[in-house]
Amino acid sequence: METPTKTIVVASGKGGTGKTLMSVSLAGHFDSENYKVHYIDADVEEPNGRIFMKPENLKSVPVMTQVPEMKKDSCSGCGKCQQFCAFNAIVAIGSKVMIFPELCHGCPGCVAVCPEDALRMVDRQIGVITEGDSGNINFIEGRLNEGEAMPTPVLTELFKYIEDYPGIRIIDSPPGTSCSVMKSMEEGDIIVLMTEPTPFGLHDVKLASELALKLGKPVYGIINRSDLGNSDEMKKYFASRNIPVLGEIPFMRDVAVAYSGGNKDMGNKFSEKIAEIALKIRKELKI
Amino acid sequence: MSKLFAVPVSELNNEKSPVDERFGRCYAFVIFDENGKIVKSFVNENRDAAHGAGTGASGLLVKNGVTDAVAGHFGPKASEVLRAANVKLWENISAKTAEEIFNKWKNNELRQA
Repeated sequence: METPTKTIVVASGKGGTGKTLMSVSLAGHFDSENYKVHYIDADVEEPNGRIFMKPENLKSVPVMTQVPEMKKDSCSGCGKCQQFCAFNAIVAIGSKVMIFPELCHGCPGCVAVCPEDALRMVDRQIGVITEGDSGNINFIEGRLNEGEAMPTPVLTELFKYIEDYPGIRIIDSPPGTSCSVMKSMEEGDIIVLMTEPTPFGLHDVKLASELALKLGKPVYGIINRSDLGNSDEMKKYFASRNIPVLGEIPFMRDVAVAYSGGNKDMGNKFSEKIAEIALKIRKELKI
Repeated sequence: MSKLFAVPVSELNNEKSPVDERFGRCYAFVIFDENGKIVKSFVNENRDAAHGAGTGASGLLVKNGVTDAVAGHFGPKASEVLRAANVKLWENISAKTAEEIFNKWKNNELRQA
């Protein structure tokens, strides 16, 4: 079925509310309705989608960044590079420099200001993008290498990678409201916020909502484990910000058991909930 | 070679400056010469850096010719930079003011970090 290309970003605020659960479930549902679906794991610091999607025929592409290195063994130690660097990633010690690659943003100002032309930029791998098939669903994962401090370069590459992918793209976003989340939200035609009716859930979904609204995106909420807390307060907040609630999912032990086993078959009751939510999403996306 | 001893402080008040437990994110540094005279003191602009406060602070001390530094704790990046520059690292054992810690250093009462 030819679908216009639409991107759904599933975000949350608080972690552990069910982003991956919802992303994986929606992907499965739209696939069952014969849409072309791409599941994109944008939680590059801890991608977990592949546990459920179990992709095959994997191919990987490295994500590179750039960092300085000395061209020669020594320099005058003038420290102009250190002075220039906004990230404290390069320090002049005696007759050479010490570089902290994980702090470097690759700008490459140090190379430019060095009066002795003692530095050059070199490539450094910080992550990897992996693509595969999960049945008919296309699986794409961004992964930041362990020990790295900056996820955004991986996300830039990931979103460039899927730029022309047609059909329904479901982006499983990281938790929180950091740069990574903002970058992910920017890709969305709509943003779906998974949340839970606890004090932390409410606090964090407010932050995520405000971010999404500030980005000018259509925002929707889904309340997970809706019977385990104060859903009324949460709905009141959403109403006050004109954020439609697509669904309220009560706690279902079977779902928790399936999820903790890496199993994306969650049973009929849950599938019905997903179908309801998917229908509303289709209406909002006009597909 | 004469020694210069750097102390992280939480307020600038000459010798009476209260010692800051932190290194990379301390408020300021006071630098003594071997005779206990303060030769330099400055606010640490790295203290609010998102990352690299330690490398920045260490870089500042190295630039100012510091030979010895004391702190409650030196982070991994700060340690790396300071050791590469042959700065001796000392552990602060509950001295309250810059003066006190200088005296402890001078009297060999400090342990190397």
